[in-house]
Amino acid sequence: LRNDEAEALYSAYSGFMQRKQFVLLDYLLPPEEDKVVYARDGWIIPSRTLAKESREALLNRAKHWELYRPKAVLRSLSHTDYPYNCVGMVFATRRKWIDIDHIEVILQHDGYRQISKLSVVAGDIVLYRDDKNDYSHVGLIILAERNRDTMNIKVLSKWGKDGEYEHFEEDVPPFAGKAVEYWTERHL
Amino acid sequence: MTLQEIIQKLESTEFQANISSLSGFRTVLTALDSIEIVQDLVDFLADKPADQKLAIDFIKVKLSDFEAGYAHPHDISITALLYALEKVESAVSLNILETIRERKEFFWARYMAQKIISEKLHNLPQKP
Repeated sequence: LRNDEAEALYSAYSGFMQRKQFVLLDYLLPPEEDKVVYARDGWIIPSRTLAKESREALLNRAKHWELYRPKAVLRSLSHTDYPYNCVGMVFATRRKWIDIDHIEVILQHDGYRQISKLSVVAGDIVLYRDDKNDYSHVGLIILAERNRDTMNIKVLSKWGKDGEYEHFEEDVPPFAGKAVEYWTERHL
Repeated sequence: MTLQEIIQKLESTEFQANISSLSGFRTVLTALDSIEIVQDLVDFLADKPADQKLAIDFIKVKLSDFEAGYAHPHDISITALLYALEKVESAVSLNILETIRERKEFFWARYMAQKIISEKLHNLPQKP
């Protein structure tokens, strides 16, 4: 880093709380000339492109999940020049990687509102939180069946760099967290 | 357990899958905080300072071990090593961190390198 860059970074960081630093990392990494993703109100969603995974690595990990998450059904592996993640699947039509840390702001800019589990229908989304109560994953609800006071929910979600899976809401990788919130952009 | 055995576990499909299935850098850090082999690595490096240099040498050797245009095959193991080296306050050179930060074939390792660089800057003494 040049001295002026270092000073600018130092000055930017000194004003930020620890929690904000992770969001800031997206802005500190070298900029990318790429297609921009907009929220519904015009806000530019911070997104990244990344190098594509080797087919062999993707297949090896798919075999791992077949063994450890046998109920999850693999829909696709993204061996493309534009790998995407769970947020990119739901909010950027499978074209971009958007860090889950931006989800709260995206929901706000896209006009989503939180709903109860019993109000969920297909097309709504489910948010997961990890052990530290931070958002860790998002999925698109594809089936919501009410059985008295419980809901049977199936989700389509992209597991990080790995495949897109159709799965029960609790059937996600071990560090992807627990399904805790349900959101919709439906107008009732 | 030796450093080589720990690195082998970091390069196992299970560890790679657990990290590559995540969608945010903060979530990756939370996972690294709780995965046993990573905590074993932190303890190992804390107990054996000589192996800290070996870990840095491993990173150096693997930096160029990738196919252009494809994700770096050691991205996740290097991320875990950087995480552990930072925990034991072992100084990874700015040159290595900058190389990782600039290399598009890396992903999580770029975030980790950027985080360490940023924290180094943040911890600089305040100007009078």
